[in-house]
Amino acid sequence: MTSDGVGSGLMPRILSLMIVALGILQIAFSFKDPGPSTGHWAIRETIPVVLGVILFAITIRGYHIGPIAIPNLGMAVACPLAIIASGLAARDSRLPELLVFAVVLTTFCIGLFRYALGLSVPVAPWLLGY
Amino acid sequence: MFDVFTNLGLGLSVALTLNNVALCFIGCLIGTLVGVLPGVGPVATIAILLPVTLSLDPTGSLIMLAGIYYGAQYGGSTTAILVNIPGEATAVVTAIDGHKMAQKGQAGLALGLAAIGSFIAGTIATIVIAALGVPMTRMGLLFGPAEYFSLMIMGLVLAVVLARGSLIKAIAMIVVGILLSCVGSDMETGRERMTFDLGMLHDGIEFVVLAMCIFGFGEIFKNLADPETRDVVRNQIGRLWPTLGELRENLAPILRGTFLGSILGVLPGNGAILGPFASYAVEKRLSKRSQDFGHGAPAAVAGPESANNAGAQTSFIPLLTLGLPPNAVMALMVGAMMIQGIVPGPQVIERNPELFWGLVASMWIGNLMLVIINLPLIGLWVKLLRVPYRLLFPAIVCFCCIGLYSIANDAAQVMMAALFGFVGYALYKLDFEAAPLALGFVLGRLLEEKLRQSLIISDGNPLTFLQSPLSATLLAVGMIALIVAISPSMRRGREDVFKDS
Repeated sequence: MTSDGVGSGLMPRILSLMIVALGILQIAFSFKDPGPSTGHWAIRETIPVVLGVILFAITIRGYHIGPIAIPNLGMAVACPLAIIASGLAARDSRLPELLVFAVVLTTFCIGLFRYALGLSVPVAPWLLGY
Repeated sequence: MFDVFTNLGLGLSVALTLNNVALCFIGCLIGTLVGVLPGVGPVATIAILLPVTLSLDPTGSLIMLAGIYYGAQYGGSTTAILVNIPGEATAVVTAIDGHKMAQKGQAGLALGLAAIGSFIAGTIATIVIAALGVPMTRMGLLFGPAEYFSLMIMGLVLAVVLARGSLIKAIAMIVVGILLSCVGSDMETGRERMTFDLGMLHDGIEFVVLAMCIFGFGEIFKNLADPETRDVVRNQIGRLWPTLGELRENLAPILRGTFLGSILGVLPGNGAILGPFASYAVEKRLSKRSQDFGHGAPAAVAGPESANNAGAQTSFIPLLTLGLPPNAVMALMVGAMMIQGIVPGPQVIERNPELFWGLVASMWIGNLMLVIINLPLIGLWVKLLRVPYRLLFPAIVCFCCIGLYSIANDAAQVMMAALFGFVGYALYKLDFEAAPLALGFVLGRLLEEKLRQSLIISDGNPLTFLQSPLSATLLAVGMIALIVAISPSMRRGREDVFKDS
């Protein structure tokens, strides 16, 4: 082992080699026993959820993507967006019900996280200033 | 022996302050509330609720988290009995006979026995923790870096052996977990590793983010893809308290379950998961009416539930005394302790005795509270079980987002979670288990630190791990476990353990 043996690269290098080896083994075994089909990949259901999370991330405290600048909108906007966008993922989703639910849940979240627990999550900076 | 009770006394004096009792109570209550929701297991529950504890002092926040954990465990059993959807692997066994009892109109009895069994198991396990705490810590202090490294390797090997499914996949998940823990600036040289020049990776990946994605979002994708048919029991719940006769009949299963669960729970590498399975097998063999098993035998609920709870509690031992989390829940606890500025390990008991003993004592109080709050509130839980999933998961998404954001007041963490969630779903689809990944991730940093320390001490000689007798023994145990697991006869046996039930 060289003097660089215990440097930053040692551990990641060993691990990467192990992953390569395990991957080759896994592929080799898969020829012997292909295993069951992975079935239906729920892309239609996953995209709205991921979209909802991303919407939350870019609106909670603003975001800059190139020329577009999203202002600091806080929980009052980010929560309903996340709830409605992700809620549409369900096969049996109903929009009116979801809208009402979003309002109720957002109010609850603001009350719980900001006021009861005192976490410094922005509420509605464009309206209240925090 | 006397020391144990003095220490527990100190613990009780901490845990019984009005503030901490209140925190324990709230923890148990909201833990149950979230844990009851179908498809939300203890890990997801703790990940979702972790931010709630951020603003508390270290002792208070750990007491509350422990409460959340027991609540989630118990909530999971409630769901298993009433809906036949086990929230996690350890509740699988409860679901078999518990749900059958519920269909026969004995849901109340099943829930009552589960609660009483859990309480007895919790009481005994608390004493076990108190008794083992000091000696285990002393042992931990004798460990040098090489011994620590070998102990972790042994623990990880045991985790592989105990995981379900393919061994290669389980090992791969552990290795990937360790590799992910290397992301960020190197703790010694400060060099950036695998950050791809992304600012959000500079400080490494936060464990809570990883856990929330894999266990929180991954779970949602899973449930949306395969909508479960929920079969909430429509029958009467029936009386909750068992008669004296029923209690006497089930006392032996409860005590045997506690014994098995306590021992298996201490094993590194999530031995706790074996407790309920082992208890089920033992009770079935000892029972005079073994043909009833699988069709609603009370002993098949009381025994495994006690084992489950005892194991859940004794799995705190390796975490609190050695700083090594044996499973994903304990890994989350490490995350919580780190956020509070406490580095888990043998020094905790010395430096923060009130935290250590307060936490141990609060475990017992938490178990007591579960009996008190759960049985009267059962009607509420049944109502909660009827909340449709189409409203449930947007709420979970919203809580997760707020939680992810508030860990570091950083929206980038939320973004990262969305991407990891996808990965989590893909892993589930391809039959890779998430628990080994989480374990590898949490032990990764410590593993690397100890590896490098021991190599520096030995001047780069890797034989150092074999020269210390203790370290060599630990590695040998791991090696033997791995060889046994690979051997064909054992492989079949391993599948049977999980399939039998």
